[in-house]
Amino acid sequence: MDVYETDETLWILVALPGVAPDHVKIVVADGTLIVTGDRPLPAEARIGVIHRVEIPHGRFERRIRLPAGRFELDGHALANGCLMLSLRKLL
Amino acid sequence: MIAHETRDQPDDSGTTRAAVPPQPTSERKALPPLRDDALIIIPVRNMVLFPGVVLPVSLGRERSVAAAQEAARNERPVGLLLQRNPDVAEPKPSDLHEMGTSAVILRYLTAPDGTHHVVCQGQQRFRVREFLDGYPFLAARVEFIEDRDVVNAEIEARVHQLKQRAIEAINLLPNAPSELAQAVQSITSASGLADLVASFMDLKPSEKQEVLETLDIRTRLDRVLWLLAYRIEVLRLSRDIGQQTRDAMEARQREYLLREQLKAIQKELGETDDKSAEIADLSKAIADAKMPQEVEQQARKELSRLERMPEVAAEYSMIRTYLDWLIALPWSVLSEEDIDIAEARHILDEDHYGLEKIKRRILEFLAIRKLNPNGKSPILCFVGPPGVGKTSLGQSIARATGRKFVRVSLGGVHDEAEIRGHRRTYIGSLPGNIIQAIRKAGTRNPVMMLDEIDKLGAGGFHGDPASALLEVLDPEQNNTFRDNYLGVPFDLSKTMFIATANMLDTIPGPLRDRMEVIQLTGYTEEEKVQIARRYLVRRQLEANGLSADQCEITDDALRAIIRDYTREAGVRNLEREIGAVFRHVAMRIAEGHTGKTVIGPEDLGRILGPRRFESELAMRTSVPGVATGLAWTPVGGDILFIEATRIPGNGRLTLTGHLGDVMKESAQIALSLIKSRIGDLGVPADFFEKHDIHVHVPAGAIPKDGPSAGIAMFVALASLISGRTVRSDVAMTGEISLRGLVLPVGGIKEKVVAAARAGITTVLLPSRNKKDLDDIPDEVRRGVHFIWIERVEEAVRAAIGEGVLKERVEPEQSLAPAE
Ligand SMILES: Nc1ncnc2c1ncn2[C@@H]1O[C@H](COP(=O)(O)OP(=O)(O)OP(=O)(O)O)[C@@H](O)[C@H]1O
Ligand SMILES: [Mg+2]
Repeated sequence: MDVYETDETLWILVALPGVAPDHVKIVVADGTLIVTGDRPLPAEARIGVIHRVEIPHGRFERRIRLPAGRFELDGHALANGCLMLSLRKLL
Repeated sequence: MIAHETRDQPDDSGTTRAAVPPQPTSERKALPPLRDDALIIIPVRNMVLFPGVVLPVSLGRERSVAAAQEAARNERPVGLLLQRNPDVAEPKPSDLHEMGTSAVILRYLTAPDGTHHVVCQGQQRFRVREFLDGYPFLAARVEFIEDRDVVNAEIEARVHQLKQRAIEAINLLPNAPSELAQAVQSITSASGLADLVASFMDLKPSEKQEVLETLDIRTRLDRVLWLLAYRIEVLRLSRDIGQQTRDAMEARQREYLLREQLKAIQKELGETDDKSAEIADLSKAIADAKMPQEVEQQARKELSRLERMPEVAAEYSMIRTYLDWLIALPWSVLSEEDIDIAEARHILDEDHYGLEKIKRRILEFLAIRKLNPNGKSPILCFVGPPGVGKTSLGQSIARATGRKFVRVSLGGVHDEAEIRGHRRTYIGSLPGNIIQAIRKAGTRNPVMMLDEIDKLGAGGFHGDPASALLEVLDPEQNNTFRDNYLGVPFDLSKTMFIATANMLDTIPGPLRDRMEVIQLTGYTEEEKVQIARRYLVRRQLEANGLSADQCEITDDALRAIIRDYTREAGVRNLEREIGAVFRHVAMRIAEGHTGKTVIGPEDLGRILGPRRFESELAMRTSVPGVATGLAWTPVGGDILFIEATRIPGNGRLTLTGHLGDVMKESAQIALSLIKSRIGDLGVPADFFEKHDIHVHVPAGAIPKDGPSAGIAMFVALASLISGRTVRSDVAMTGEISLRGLVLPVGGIKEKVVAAARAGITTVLLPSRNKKDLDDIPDEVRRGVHFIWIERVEEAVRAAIGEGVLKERVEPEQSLAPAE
């Protein structure tokens, strides 16, 4: 997970390869950003035999303390296996 | 719930791990579907998973890989079972413990070296019902075990203590995860806490398994506390002193360390602050106990010794215990005694049915006490068979006089010290049972029941318990009763002693002289029915959680229980059998039967089993003159007793029991026959000139007619006249002729079946009935010995014994003169 900050915006990049957008939930509470989600075993694993599973699957949860200040979730996009969040600073 | 990983990675692959990791085979067949109560089983070697705990499991075996994949694919839980022996490579069901924990697979992952692992979270305990065939891994039908969290003060105290100690242990662990203490602190469920702590502690797998299998929550908490205390000690010692010195350390030093720890723990738990506070508390408690002056002086003396002593001294706790005893005794606590005779009468009646004379005697006793409270009243002693209400009368007296009730069991007491205590110089010494009972009563004037005074052991090596008891009971001495442990006198003069005994004879003479004996003889059948109706039925309904609307028992059923299932003077077994009946009903209701259950006599066989007649047989036939016959009835056979007795007279016969004419004739024939054979019975020839005979067939629901009781009548008479009893396990049937022949009769099958049911093992039957043998069911035939008889002599020989009735060489001569 990467965090960048510009004057107006806080950028947060979370690597979520193989996670469908509707399996991700984002919450901001008490100055903490919480990303929870779920990557089930891919359908192929369900019909076949597992030889290797190295990409994490199952439920996950990441929490990051945000820098001081108030933020508002501005936009999010899931691209190239990464979730990009932008939080606008409220002054 | 709580997620953490243990320091040492549990690894079920054991020694095979280093080799090439097993690869799942790629062909997959469709498997039979698993039922809901079935689990895919993964056997593990060195780990025990608890509910709520997250642990990684390495899959070293092909079967385990297949099992985990099947579960991951279908999002099914797995069950982890510990191997009994970690060295077994391919465990069979019998190599596994039966109890384990079900788990959901949170993650399935493979390491870069190609090994397979799962991360599991424990869900619930389960027990294996049966293993299932037909899967490429182990699978079993299981029973899930609910964790029921009870909340009460005892549990809460343990939870509190366990949390404190667990956190202490975590702080001592070299590299404990930081969230662990947090998790321990915030957990609310007692069973969850015990499981979590057991899980992170560095225990042998077998010890963890033991905790897993401990379902009672309190026991589990205690077990974990105990294990943890040991761990803490080890951790502390190894941290503070280092491993080498630990072995060399002297026992005293170790004890010192442990005591320091103990203090630290107690302090942490807020149990004590320090010694001076303890002394101050004790001092206050001594003042509050309102001891007599002499006792208080002694207590203060001991207290100042305690103050000067280091807490680690072994004597410290001995003195402490002693002081606790002095403080706890009711030196000046008295129940207010206010005897209202009318009220006492009311209480006695409320608790007991009948017993008029005894109640009156008790009331007299109480009236005298009321008039002269300080007078020396005698000690009551209730003597009677078990279960007639001796103990419960004692309780009633306590209730009627507003006193506490305590019981001291004297059965088997054969050492004076059991009554009077051991000197304090013995390790682990305690006061005797009199002072212990006083402490339990909490007052100085309870009703103290000295139970089974007739079973007091004879004095031997250690002094005579009876003489110690005499001192207890003697009003001249018992105001300064000296218990060896206390060493100071205690005033027992306000205590009301009541003794109980089954027999008078074995009570030591001097004791008996001090007591006023009240005999309780036992109850008649009708009294028992009343007692059951008024007391026992209600009590047992309540004990089994039933209401009168749910279950009722008829008087006839009560009577049947009394007659057929109990044989006692009191009502204890009766109460137990009633309890057994209600338990059965309660079970049925629990199984979903609704509506009111009415128990009649016909239900008893099904619930209580076959009637217990054997004891009756033995009792009835324990005197000469009683023989057991067999009767045929429209609803099967039954046994019946023929009772004969002699009274002064001149050879007349009296028959009672509402006998039919044919049966009366049988009796006449039996009598004539026996008269004719009087010389062969070894009694004076003028026997019948001096005696009348009375034959009675006791009442019962048996039609009393027909000739088949003839042989039983003859045997009863032979027994009466010879003075020898009839064997209790023999029954007989057969008509007799005046010439002493035994003639065939009907209903053989029913009669033999009834005999077997009643516990008869030998049946005498007329030889000419042999053809009926085939009708008798095999299982009955196997349990009964048949003797086929042609003549009355043979019956007498088999039922009474040899040499009772001399055999006639020539049957013709036995022709008897008609009366
Ligand atoms: N007359 C009665 N009325 C009501 N209940 C009675 C009566 N007699 C006995 N019981 C009940 O029978 C049970 C057995 O009585 P108890 O325990 O007093 O017997 P016991 O005489 O002390 O026997 P043991 O010699 O075995 O100690 C008690 O539950 C008691 O309440
Ligand atoms: Mg008793």
